[in-house]
Amino acid sequence: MLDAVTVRLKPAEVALPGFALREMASVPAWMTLFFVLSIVFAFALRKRFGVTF
Amino acid sequence: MFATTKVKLDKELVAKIKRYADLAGYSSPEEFITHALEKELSKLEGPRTRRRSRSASADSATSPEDRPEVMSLLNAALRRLFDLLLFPFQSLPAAVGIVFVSLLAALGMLWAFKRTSNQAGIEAAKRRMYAGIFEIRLFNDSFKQIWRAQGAILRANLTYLRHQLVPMLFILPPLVLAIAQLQFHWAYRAARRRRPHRARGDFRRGLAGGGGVPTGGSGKPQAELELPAGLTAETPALWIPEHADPGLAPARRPAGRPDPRHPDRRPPLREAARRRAPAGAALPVRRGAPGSISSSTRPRARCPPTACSTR
Repeated sequence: MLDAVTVRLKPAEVALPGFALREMASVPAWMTLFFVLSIVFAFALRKRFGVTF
Repeated sequence: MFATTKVKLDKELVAKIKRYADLAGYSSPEEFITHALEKELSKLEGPRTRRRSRSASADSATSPEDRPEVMSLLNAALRRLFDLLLFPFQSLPAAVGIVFVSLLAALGMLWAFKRTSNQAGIEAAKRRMYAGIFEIRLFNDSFKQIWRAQGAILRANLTYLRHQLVPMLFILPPLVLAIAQLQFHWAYRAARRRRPHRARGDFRRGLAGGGGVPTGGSGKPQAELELPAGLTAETPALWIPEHADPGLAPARRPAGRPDPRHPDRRPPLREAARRRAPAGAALPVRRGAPGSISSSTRPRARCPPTACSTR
């Protein structure tokens, strides 16, 4: 009968040592951290994998 | 005269059927049962018919009606995978899980990049760009030489981008699916025990207008919400007449577009439900229009039978 039941939840923060990462320009906090860390890890491990980009 | 067959049903079930048949505006419980059975049968008959028609024709491509179903199955499989993957991090801060997933994503991207990219071509393009920069520094007194070097750098740059594009085609689709799953785990503050949350229900388009929902004297729909185990309604349902169009059409508009009745009010951009609700009770989320893209970016959340029955 109902098309949707929605519950409004607030965006989550990601607690880091010393500060909390918040949502910025509609980009969720977890996504910012995920992309930054993915790039950092990819750069750190590129030589071990023998990859250039 | 139609031939009739008697079917034995549980008393409680019959009472429930009568109640909902009345609520949904059916003339009798028999009509409601017939409609429900016909609907289920058409669902079961549908795939068979489609399979036959596909095998008969040479075109084996997936039909548009099948795509959301395929996406739902894919998302259901991915949901289990991600639940399992993140299970050890449930009691830890979100940052720990994000570091782990980022490391996995980086390893996956490196592996895919190595397999699918033209490493020699990328190296060559980068060398040509370095050469162009050196050329500009060496022949900085020659305008013609600088222009030629600039052109070479630009060409090498475009070649470099072309080489990057191929691995991106392999990396981005799984990354989008993973992000859609992770969004449910970390994007919203979890619904906590003993903390009230406001739920909003929208009637299915055209249902109320077509007389599907009985209304009281004030126009308030005579409907009630059944909550899953672990959730209790603290207040009775509030019906806001100004949010309902004539005929109780759903007060729904595209996200980000202001409400013409309340231009100063911010539109609800972030209406979603976190799957992990208290006491294991999962809440359904608002779904976008049926389609592959909306199904992948907004995978259907796990919906308990009791919550689904309110749809």
